Amino acid sequence: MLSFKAGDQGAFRSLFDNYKKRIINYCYRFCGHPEVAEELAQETFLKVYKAAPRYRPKARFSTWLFKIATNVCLNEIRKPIYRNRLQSMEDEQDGVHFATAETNRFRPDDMVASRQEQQMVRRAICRLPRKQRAALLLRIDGEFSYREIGKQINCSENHVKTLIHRGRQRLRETLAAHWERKK
Amino acid sequence: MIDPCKDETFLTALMDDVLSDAEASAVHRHVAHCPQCRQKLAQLKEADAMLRGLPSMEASADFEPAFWRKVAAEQEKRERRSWARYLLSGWRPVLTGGLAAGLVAGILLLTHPGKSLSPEELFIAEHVELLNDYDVINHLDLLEQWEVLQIMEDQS
Repeated sequence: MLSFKAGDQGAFRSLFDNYKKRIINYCYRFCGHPEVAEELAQETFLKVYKAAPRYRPKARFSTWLFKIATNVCLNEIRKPIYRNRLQSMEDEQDGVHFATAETNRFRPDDMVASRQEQQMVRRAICRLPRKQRAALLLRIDGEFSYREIGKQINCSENHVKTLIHRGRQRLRETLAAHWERKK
Repeated sequence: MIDPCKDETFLTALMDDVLSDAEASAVHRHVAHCPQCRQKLAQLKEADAMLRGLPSMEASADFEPAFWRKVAAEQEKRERRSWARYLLSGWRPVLTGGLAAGLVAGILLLTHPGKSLSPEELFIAEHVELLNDYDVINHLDLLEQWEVLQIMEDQS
């Protein structure tokens, strides 16, 4: 990032290639919609590109990058249009259409759990309160420490621990209800 | 006192490996003897596994081209902004201001050529011949002297 700040465009290209997939998947798990996830990932990298002149390495680059991605995702889910998208996404997921569209974009060997269970998990994540969602995904996807997550979402380490715990609990409760219905 | 029964977040902290060795040992000992905490820990691990097991997605073919188009648009916007800053910096605003003032003054002069004459000035302009005569009358005695001088000159 410092090389890019000094004018090396190739350095940005390198960062982009290295983090592209992680950021897209983080955004996808956050918002639940593949096309929206790509837009959010592009917006994240664009913010990084614009912020280069002001960049100061106070923490790891990935910590900073995921902080930007989190803010972009949080802004997105605040919009009223997101709730409409979420509803139509859930409607699509119940039908055949989504299954067909998804097949082309996902590697077959990743589809270990049943499609229905994956859909349940995605819906459950999208229904988590914002900060619980952010804390949990930063832990799972980003593998950041509680301290780093605290800096990314502006809260104490203790609060991060509570958010992650509640997020997992809530996820578990939603899935347990689904499994009960299946029985 | 570490008691996951009272504070379940210890179970989450254990899963995330953020406890000290002493704390982790205490939680392990508790879980070994507490079926409820053992079950809760298993359920939390199950939820985590479901989350980690979600398939990853690959970027679409248009992801990169679309991103670089946005970067190009951003660079264009930046260049337009820097042109505006260039025009507004240093002596240029003074020159621009002066030219603008001159333009406004020119427009005003063309549309308003001069102020109108007062009634006195108008009277004088209309009766300038009479005024010339008045001037002569005022200096008649001098003129009379002049005639005498002329006669004297002719005679000499």
